[in-house]
Amino acid sequence: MRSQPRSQEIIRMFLLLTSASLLVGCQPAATVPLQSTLSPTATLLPSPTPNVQLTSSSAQTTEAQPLCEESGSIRSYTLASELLGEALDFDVYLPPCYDSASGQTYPVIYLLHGQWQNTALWQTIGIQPTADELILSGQRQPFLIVMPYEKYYFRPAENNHYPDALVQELLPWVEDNLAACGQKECRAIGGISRGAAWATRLALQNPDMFSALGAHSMSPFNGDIEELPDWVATIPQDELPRIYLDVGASDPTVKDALAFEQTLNTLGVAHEWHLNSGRHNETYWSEQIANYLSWYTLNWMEE
Amino acid sequence: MILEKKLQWLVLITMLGGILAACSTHGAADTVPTATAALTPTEELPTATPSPQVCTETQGYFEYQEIQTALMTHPLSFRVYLPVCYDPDGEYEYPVLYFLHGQSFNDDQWDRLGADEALDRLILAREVAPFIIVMPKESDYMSNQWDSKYGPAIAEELTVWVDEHYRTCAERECRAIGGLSRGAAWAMRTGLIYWQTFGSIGTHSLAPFRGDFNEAPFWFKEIPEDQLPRIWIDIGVLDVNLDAANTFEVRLTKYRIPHEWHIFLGTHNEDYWQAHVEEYLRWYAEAWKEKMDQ
Repeated sequence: MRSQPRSQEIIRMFLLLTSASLLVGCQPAATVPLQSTLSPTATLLPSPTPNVQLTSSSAQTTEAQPLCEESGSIRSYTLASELLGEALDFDVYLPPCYDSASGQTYPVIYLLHGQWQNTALWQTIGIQPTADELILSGQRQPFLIVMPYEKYYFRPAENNHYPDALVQELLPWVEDNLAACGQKECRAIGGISRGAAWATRLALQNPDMFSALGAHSMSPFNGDIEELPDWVATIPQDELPRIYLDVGASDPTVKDALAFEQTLNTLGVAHEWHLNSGRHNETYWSEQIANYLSWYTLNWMEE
Repeated sequence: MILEKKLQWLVLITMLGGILAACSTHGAADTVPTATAALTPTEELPTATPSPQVCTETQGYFEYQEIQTALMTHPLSFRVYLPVCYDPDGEYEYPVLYFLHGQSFNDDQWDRLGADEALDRLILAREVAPFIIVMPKESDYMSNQWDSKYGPAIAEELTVWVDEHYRTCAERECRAIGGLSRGAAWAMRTGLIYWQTFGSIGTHSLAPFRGDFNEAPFWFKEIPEDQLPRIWIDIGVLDVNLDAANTFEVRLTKYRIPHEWHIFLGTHNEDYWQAHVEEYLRWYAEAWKEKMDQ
C-alpha cells in the first residue's frame, strides 16, 4: 500500500551493488549484466515548445500525444480604450497547451483587483500554479483568466468608465483575439475588495453576460445595497448568476459584506457565503485562491 | 508492514550470503548465471503477506443496531452504512459521519434520500475517501429538547460504542455530525457543545432550537480559536425556517465563527434534500481528503 521509505531503497540498492561488485571481484572475466540493474531511464525533459520530435525509442512506442507545456503562462496585453481615453492594461492566464489554432474555445474568468492593488496581486497569491493544478489534475477543462488593471482605483465609482470599458471593450477584445468561448455559460466574473464591488455591479447589471459572480472580501459601493433589489427584480430567477461571497472573520469589511449578503437572503437570491478565518490581506487570499478557482470553474468539468 | 520489511531484509541478506557462498565454493563458471538469476528479480521482491483479495463490491450495506445508553431511558437504535469494500481488519481507519433525521421522520430518512447510493458512487469514482455513516433514530422527536438526551447520548455514548465496534478513526477530525431540520438543530447544538468530539458540523435546512440563539455565544467562548469545527448551513429560499436559520447564521458571523452558508432554490422537503445530499457528502469528505492516499 505505502511506498517504501527512500532511505531503505538506497540501502537496498547499495546492497545490490555490493553483491554485484563481489561477483565481479571473484569472476572478473564473466560479463555480469550489471547494466540491467541500472536500467536506462528514458529522461523525457519537458520541452519548452510543443511539436518537438521525440527521439527516445521508448517514447515512440507510447501513443503519439502532443507534448506541450507543463504549466500555463501569464501574458500582459494592452488595448487602446476609447471609453477610458487611454490604454487599458491587462494580464491573461493561458492554460497549459493553450492552442488558439485548434478551433477549441476556452471559458473565461474575469478577475478584478482591489484598491491599492494591481494585476501583480494575482500572481502574488499564486493564481497560476493553482489554475495549472486544477487543469493538469484533470479536475477541470482548461480555461482562461483575464485580469484587468484599474489604474484609477481611487476614483469614485460614479461616472467611472472602467466598468463600461470592461464589458464594451475588453470582453469583445478577448473574444475576438483569444480562443475564448463567447457564451454566458463560459464567462465568470469576480474580484477582491473594490474589485468585488465592480464585479457585483457588472454581473447583476448585465445578467445576460456572466453565469457566475464571486465577491471576495467585498466592501460594496455606497448605495449598491439599496440598489440591489432593483437589479435583482429585473432578472428572471433562472438567469441569475451563481453567487459566492466570502470574507475573513477578522476583516473590518465583514459588516458591509454581511449587510449585502443579508439583502440577498431577504430577496431570496440563491448564493453561498463563507466566513473564513483570516483578514483583508494577501495571506488570506493566498489561502482562498484554490477555493475561488474551483468554484468559478465548477461547471467547466473535463468531459 | 514491519513483518514485510523484515522479510525483505532477510531476503537481501540471504541473497548476499548466498552470493558470497557461491563465490567461495563453486567454480566461476557456475556463479554468473546463479547470481544473475538472483539479481534480476529483486525489482519485484515477493511480498510477505498474501496479496489481498481484490474487492469487487459495488455498493455498501447497512447494519441495524440498538444500544442501551446511560443517558437515555429507552434504547437508542441506529443504522450503520458501511462503505463499499469495508474492511474491519484492514489498516484503513474509517472516518464517521453521524447523520440525523428530521422531526416526524426516522433513521431510514437519509437512506430514502439516497445518501448511501450517493456515497457508493463517490467512493467508487475515487472522489472521496471511504467513510461510515451512522444514522441514529430519535424516537421521541416531539420531546422537549432540553429534557431529551438524544444529542448528549450520541456524543458521549454512541461515538464510543461505534469506535469500539467498527474500524473507525477515533479522532475528532475524523468525526462529523450533521442533520436536517430538527436533526440539524441537534447537530449544531451537539457539535458546538461537544467540540472535542466532532470536527465538522453540517446543518441542512436548519430549524434551530429556540433558545440556542442565546446559548450559542456561550458555547463559542469555550472553543479555542484554532479548534473551531467546520460549520455548514444550507436552506431553501422558500423554507419557513429561513429567518430562524438566518438569525443563527448572523450570530456566527457576528461572533466571527468561520462557517459557510448556502441558500439554494427550494423549500423544506425531501426533494430539496435529495437534490443536495451528494453535495453534503462531498463537504463532509472534504475534511478527510488526505485519507484518499491511504
